Amino acid sequence: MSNSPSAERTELIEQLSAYIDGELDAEARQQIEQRLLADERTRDVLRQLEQANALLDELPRSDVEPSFTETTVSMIALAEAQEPSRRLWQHSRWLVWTLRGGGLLIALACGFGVVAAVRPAPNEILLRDLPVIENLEPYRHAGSIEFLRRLKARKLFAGPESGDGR
Amino acid sequence: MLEVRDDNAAAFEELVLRYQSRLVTVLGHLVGAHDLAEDLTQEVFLRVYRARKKYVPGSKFSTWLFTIANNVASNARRTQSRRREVQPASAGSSSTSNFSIDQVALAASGQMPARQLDKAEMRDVVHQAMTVLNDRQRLALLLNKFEGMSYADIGVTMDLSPQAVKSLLSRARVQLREVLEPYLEQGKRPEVDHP
Repeated sequence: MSNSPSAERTELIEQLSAYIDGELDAEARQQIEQRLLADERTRDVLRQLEQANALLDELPRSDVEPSFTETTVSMIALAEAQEPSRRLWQHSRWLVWTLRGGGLLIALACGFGVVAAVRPAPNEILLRDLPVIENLEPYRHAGSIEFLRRLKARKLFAGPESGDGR
Repeated sequence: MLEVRDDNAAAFEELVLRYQSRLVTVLGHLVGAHDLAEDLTQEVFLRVYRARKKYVPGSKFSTWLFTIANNVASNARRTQSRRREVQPASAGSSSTSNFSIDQVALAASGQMPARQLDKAEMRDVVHQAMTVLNDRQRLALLLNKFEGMSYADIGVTMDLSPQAVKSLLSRARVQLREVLEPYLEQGKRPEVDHP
């Protein structure tokens, strides 16, 4: 517990406020009552707090029209009746977005397939040209395709590696 | 509430009937306008109805109800302050005051009995003084005064410890007393800056 005067005063006010509300245990209540008997300033603080509390009785208590209950219950019944369609609307929106997403994925896959089918694969070109590539060095030395064809016609090449004459 | 939880429509209607005025009163003092308080009360009952299956038997219904009301009021105040930011010129003291122009005119004409005027004026002054308190202080005072809630129940409703409620209430009373002192001592109306 702090000994500063302001902390003591704050604690006293809290205890007095709780005393007004009947929130103190028996021991604390007894302590406050003894202090109230002995100290006029404490009694003044209590009076001020009680006055502030009593002034709240001046605040108006609202009342509602007799039809308010019926209006409220009807409004809730209506809101509950609309709830399934609201949920359905939310679900259908979710479904629409899911379908849109799925459609986009399918379109992308189809596009990829079409491009892959139309565009020749680089490996296929390499495979087709493999015999030429393998004999590129001798072809370069020969210098002319026509010359090679004449050599082939004279059956100067022997063996399967002679190629297709290109 | 247990019957409401078991979908008894008549029990729900009875519950609305029993709590509607209490809710409108507390919400009215929290948001400062009767019409809005009625709308918010309906919103609270709608939430209660939708959450009825989650109600735990044995827990105090009023604390559960006012916890929902506190959330609804907080949302409404946030919306109000956003609107005030957008339309600062439209803000005025008329919505927060119960002391109407008609009453002032009637009093000036001498047709209103002095005692009635005192009562109406006092009500208006206290109402004005309440606007000085912060939202938590105001709610704690209202639950304590109008609902007769214990510190423990106010704590459950506002998600505070009983000790925090004790401090909150004492500070609120001191502040209220300070604001009202000029009126009580010299009949001067408190100077309140409307938010």
